[in-house]
Amino acid sequence: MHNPLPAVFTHRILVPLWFIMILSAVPSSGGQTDLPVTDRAEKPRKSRASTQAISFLAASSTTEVMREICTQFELQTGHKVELTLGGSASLARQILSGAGADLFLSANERWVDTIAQQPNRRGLSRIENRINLLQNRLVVVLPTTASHKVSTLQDLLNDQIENLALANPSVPAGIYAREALNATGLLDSLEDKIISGDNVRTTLAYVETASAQAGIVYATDTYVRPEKLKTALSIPDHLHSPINYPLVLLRHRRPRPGAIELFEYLQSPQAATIYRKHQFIVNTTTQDFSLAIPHTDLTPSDKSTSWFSSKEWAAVKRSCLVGFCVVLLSLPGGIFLGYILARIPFRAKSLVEVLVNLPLVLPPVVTGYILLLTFNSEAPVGQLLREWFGIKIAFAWPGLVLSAAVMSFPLMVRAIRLGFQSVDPRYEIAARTLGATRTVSFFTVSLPLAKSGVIAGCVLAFARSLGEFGATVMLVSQRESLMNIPLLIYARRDEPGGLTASWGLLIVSLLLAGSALAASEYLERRGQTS
Amino acid sequence: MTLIQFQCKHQFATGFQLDIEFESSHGVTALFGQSGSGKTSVLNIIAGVIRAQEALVRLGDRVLCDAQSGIYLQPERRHVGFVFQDHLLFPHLSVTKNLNYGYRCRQSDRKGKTQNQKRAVDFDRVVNVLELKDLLHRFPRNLSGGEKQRVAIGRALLSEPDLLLMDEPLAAVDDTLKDRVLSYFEKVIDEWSIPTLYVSHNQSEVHRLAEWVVVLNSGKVQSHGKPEKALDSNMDQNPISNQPSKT
Repeated sequence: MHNPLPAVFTHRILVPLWFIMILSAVPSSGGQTDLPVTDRAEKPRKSRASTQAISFLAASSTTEVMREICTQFELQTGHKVELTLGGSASLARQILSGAGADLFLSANERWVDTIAQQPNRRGLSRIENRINLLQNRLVVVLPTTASHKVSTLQDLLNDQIENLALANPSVPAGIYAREALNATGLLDSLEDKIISGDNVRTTLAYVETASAQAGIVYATDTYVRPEKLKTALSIPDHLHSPINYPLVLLRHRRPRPGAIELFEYLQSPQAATIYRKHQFIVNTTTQDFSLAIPHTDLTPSDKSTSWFSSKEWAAVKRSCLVGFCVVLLSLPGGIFLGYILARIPFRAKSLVEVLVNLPLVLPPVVTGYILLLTFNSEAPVGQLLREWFGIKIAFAWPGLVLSAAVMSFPLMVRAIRLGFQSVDPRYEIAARTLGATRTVSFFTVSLPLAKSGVIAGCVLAFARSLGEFGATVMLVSQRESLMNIPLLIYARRDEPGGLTASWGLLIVSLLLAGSALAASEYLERRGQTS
Repeated sequence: MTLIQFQCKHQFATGFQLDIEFESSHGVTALFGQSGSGKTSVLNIIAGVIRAQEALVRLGDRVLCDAQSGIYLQPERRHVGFVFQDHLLFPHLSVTKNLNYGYRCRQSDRKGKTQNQKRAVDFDRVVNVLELKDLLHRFPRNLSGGEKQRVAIGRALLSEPDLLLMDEPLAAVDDTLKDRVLSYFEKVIDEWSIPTLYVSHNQSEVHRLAEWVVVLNSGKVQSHGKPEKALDSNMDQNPISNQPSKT
């Protein structure tokens, strides 16, 4: 599977680089939400004391428009604006954990409600003022190269559309898109085609690279890369809840100079021109939300209250099944490589070693990206597998196994190799003088004596497969029907209360990993005594 | 008739040079010499464990290897039984399975040729002569040094070899037991009269077992002949160490 690499690199390296950067930033932005909070809260007091920058958190779907407006605002007023872009959920969490932000533009109202409901340390509401600033629409986009047409939502059922990219259901774009599909009764029949991007930008990237033949995104996103995407269809507003962008002025004991000015500037006619240029719909009526009114919950139906729902149980079973498949699939190769690396000197040994161990040191996301480039159904290898054997790897079940297998293979080879190295090679010599061929002596002497190493390798590979995330999220994305334990936990993080709902999964992960380690430890000890 | 003919020139990576030629028509031939004289290397070349740069090994009318005509038999095709200094019994197999290992390999090798050939070396006979009956169900880790060496020689015998190679088989056995194990060797030699090459640096062992001695010194043949003669001529300049040979 490493063969196609060079070809991929030579003819595609420039295009995908930005894609890697966006996507590898995704997990880190997820992870950052809790850690750098203190960082963000402390720094401002020191550095901003001199510069007095206004801290403005804005949903990533407003990236371009907010950059433009903030630049203008800085030029006109002389105030500094520190613009932080991210998913609404993670921005909201930053605010809730005390990041001293001044303004927050959210891509949905739910998170603003959550902030409104949680008073700060002094028991006061965190929100000073709230308005609905902007509205957005959903559109169906196609890659510019696409030959198929989509003029109604029903056309998405078309066979030429193999993968339909949506944002995942924990971000607003994903929720709205699912609402619209649900309202037209298409969600169930499309379920198997859906691949979920971690955010709107990832979703777009799937369509741009033609990994997905259609996608549902905000109208405003199509403005970003017109040469790669064409808009096929505007989805009528009544099919989903209104896509509002509430703007919030956050309360501070001593408001930062300029914060209120920016709050007002964002509602000015000058700003409105820029919004319209970027396809946003500008709200003309401003509402006062000082007394927060809870909104209806937008998450789709299956929010179960039990601590271990059928969805979680399915993910656990799926993870275990993937683990078993990985072990079965990699064992013959693992034993072969482990043995020749332990025993047989050959010229290309260090090269083989580097290749085998590469996934251990490469960022998993890069490994996953290479796999995606190699095995998506447009790529030569993916196409070949598809047409000759009918195997679909990217965004499908075999992808779960492949990515986990690649990531766990180095660990397996390592353990098996150690197992063989601990066997005195002279036992094989003894067997051969007794009349055993090389093969017979391998199976009757070396392999049984290296048994504990082989089993340890299997256990490690199994455990590693259970936890595989980085490569899998690239190759398989986040499909409801293809989530393993870590993918499900990750998908939960942006739902309010989602992480507490994942307790069951955390406990199961701990149990599985713990017993795997205990098993390999036990086998190791048994291997030493015999 | 010449039972074994051996010629070899070989340079090891360490710089050690082997240049040895001998032949023997006796039942038990001892290779005698200090550690580092090249005794074990000779056995390894005969068994096919080391591939020498230049070598001719003949066993009766069979050629095991001949560098000039490009013949090189794999170890498993040489029918040479090796008894190692540290026995190398398979730790994961019971004594019975260790004993039968060679026989079963030969049997699967013979499949399709001559079925049900009578076993040349009878299992029960070996168990009786070497008194292994009580050990059969044990595992190597539960055997004493002497017991291990008895099983090892039984295992080599049961692979029906044309030649037995014994590499200091008593080096790892307690002094008090050496005599008993030696008498087992004598019984085996009497019973099956398989040609044997016996590597040792112990004069009394050689005197007791061997009919012919080849004395090696730093990779060369120093002398050969009947034990009394060859060893006597060697006495004056040979302060023999009691260290086992490591070559």
